[in-house]
Amino acid sequence: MGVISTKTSAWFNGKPVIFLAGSPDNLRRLPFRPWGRKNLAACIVPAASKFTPPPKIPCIFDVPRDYCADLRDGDVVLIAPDGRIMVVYKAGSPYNSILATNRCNSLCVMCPQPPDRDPDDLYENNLQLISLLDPKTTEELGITGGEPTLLGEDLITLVQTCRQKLPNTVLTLLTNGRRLKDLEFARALVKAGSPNLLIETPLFADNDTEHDAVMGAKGSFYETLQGLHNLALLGQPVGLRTILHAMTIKRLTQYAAFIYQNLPFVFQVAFMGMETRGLASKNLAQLWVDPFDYQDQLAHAVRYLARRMVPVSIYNHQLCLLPRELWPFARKSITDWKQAYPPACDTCSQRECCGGIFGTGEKHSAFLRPIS
Amino acid sequence: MPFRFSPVASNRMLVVNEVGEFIFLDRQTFERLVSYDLAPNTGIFLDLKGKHFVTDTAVTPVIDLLATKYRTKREFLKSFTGLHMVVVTLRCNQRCNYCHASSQPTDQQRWDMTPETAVNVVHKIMESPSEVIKIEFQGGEPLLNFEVVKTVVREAKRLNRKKNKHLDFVICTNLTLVDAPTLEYCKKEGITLSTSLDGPKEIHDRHRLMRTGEGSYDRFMQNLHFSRSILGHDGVNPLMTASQESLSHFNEIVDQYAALGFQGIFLRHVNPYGYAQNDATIQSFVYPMEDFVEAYKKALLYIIELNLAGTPLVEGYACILLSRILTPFCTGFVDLQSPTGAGINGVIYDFNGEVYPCDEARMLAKMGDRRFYLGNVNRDSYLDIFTSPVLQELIEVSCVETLPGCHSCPLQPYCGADPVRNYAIQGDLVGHRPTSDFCMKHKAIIEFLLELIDQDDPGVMDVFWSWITNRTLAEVRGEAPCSN
Amino acid sequence: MDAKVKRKPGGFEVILSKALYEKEAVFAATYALSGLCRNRVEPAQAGYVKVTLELLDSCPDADRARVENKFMNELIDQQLRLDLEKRYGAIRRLIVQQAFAPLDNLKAAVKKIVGRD
Repeated sequence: MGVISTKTSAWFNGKPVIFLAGSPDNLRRLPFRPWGRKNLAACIVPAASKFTPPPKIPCIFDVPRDYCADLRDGDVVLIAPDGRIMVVYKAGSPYNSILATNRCNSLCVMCPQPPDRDPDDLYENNLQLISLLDPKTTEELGITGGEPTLLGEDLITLVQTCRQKLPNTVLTLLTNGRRLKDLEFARALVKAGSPNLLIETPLFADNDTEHDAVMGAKGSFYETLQGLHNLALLGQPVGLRTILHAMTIKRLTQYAAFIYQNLPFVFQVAFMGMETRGLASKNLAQLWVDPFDYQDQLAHAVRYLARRMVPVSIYNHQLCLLPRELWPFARKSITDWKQAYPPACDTCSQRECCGGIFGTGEKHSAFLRPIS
Repeated sequence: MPFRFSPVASNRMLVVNEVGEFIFLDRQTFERLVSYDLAPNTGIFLDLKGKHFVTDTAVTPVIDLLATKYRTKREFLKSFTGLHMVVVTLRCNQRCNYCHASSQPTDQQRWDMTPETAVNVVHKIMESPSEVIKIEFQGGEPLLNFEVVKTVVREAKRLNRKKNKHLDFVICTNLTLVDAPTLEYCKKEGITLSTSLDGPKEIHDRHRLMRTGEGSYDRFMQNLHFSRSILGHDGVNPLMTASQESLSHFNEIVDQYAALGFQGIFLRHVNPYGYAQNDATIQSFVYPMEDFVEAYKKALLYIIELNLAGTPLVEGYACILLSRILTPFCTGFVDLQSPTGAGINGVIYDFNGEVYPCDEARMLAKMGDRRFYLGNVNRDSYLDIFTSPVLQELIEVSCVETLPGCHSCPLQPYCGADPVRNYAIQGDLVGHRPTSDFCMKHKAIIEFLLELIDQDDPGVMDVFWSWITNRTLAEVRGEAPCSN
Repeated sequence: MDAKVKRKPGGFEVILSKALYEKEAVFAATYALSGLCRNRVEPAQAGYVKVTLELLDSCPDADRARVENKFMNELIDQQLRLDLEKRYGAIRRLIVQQAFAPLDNLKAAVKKIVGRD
């Protein structure tokens, strides 16, 4: 793993550097030849380049040119033993996150990334990744899963490491909060992350019957609530999110009412469009509601909370599928590499304001249309 | 789970839980609820479950959630006596015919609070454990004894240098005596003015008379503008008292408040204290509470329309009740609290240093019934006064959970008790709900608000929330340009 | 017959079965109507109680015709409130207790009252 760099300064901070070789400009920019430097970890060599590799430096050859063009200074890439290159951090993007684990204690019916076993070196790689980031430019960083709290003490260490190496970065931890019903664990987590930790937690209903069914985990509703109350007690900012589909849309205002009555301390409630991938794709028949058809329910719930000064965000929704009164609440939330705009968007006047669709999703609304 | 219920005018059942969450059920559904005949996966069962009326699964976490909400709702119990009313003089240059403050002619200085008493009052006030202290100067007309007002302000601020409380001052004045030095002083010391405006000239001058007999309206208006020019537009806040004639003119009164640019109006019925019930003058302004309630409802709808048409104006009484009904937070309101706000959240110091739990109690003493006398600042200690058996008794008989007629009333979480009023009007502290106009008024108005909320008209709800959260309609609606 | 109503000039008389209506409910219902009527509650034959309601002169005409109905509905409501209070009063007290002085073992307390947690 290393940081992509073409600048001189990067060679003196001791972090492993990955050099984009074969582009003569990059070499010209440096006042010295990098080959003898101890922290040169590897070279990435674009296809059809005449670059002659220096001895003893691992090189990845024939990397497609457009792939290389996407790599920027500050990006962190992981080179697998088989030569595959993975970008694990994109400099300047607000969507960067650390995948803490693939494991999960729930099995949400619409999970886009179903739980899986973890590679042996995941945790160490994550710690290394944190150490490679530039504390000056890394404004936001997510910690996601799977369910990150399954790491237990290791999660605390992970958060502490972030706090030490990236003191000004806002961390957003995505957790279902079930394990935070343990007050001492919650306390340790909050202490490790304070003061720049945000916690976002999915909550799907105003009752355990429906929430537990969506989460695929009996008893999870009250565990999560206990966790949320613990966090409130500790003064930890928490946000809530729900995914809109057939199982959550019917009683959305009751959901909003429950939040206001029982969890009025949350800093945000996010209503999220479903990414039709993973289990969502598998269970599509059971889950699919065209966002065009739930505008009324969504509008009612959003206004319900906005009136009560609970900050609301709408994620993953295209502006053409939202009544205009909801536009101020819509956020461009789809991760850059997943973001796509179908041909209908070409003539849309609101394209700049709109987050587009999930390029990774299987099914999209039948009502996408350009706004004049 | 525990809940309370009662049939309402729309022939439905109002069901309310311990923390004030409510639902209207049609009769049939209600009967199925109480005979355990609702299937757990139906929408209505889940609605009831989400509001913690029922549970078919876990019980303990539900009790925990309810307990947390209950604690939040009762947070006002933590702030003991925040409102301190100081009667700096009984003298008044007006002689309003519905006044119950036993006002005295302007030349009789023996009805003034002395500087020594004032200092003792301040020392008692500053001993209150409350973090927020509001000192309200009342009379008579406080400006007639302005030196003592200054003494109180100076002494309170001096003591507060150590105590560091949040300190507010309000002078309740008829405005007819304000002059530039007075207003400049108020501005410098951060004092706001509370005044009385009953409506347009004909209505205002019917009861609010100068001691010389002429109306006070013209002088009031002149001085209102003058006061605003120095204190700022929001430095003066009016209160209205509804007399018999006003009931049919609420809309004009509302229009006048709006035209004068006041932020709100509090439609307040006249208090029949301080008079013998057969007093001749009383006949000129009292009315059955039913008439007030009807007029109030109409006026409230009118005010809502006004707001929707672009004129922001809060109806204060509805705003307090709506906050109680719609938010999970606690809403202090001395006149309607359980246990009573009198003595616990507010207290009044008479000109001679005598302490009473509320103004009505002070009036009773003036009429010879010293039932609620708590002590005197010149003689008694803070503890003597605030742990007096009178106060303890008041608290005991003002917890709505235990009062006959209240204990199973579903409106309990929104309501409160006023034992002093019960005593003054009905002869005993507990009171008799079936014939209490206090109960009748609150029941009718709270149920009216609940029905309005249940109708869920977006415009009405936007207006209600603009009141509760003190924002403009545009803010409530989240109107903002695309900021992405 | 659980409730037998006998109309009289200026009022009515109801004989109620004690098996169906408890003393508290009967008193609460008569209390609720005490703004409209002069009421008397007295024992009747074994297992029954007699309530006499005489309309007050001040009782508005609109209410006169409805008083009987009002009383019977009030009685049923009050009995139901009483039943619910019996079933849930202990939980209500537990909520208040938990609010101000949290219990060490809420679960056990709930189980003791409800039979499940």
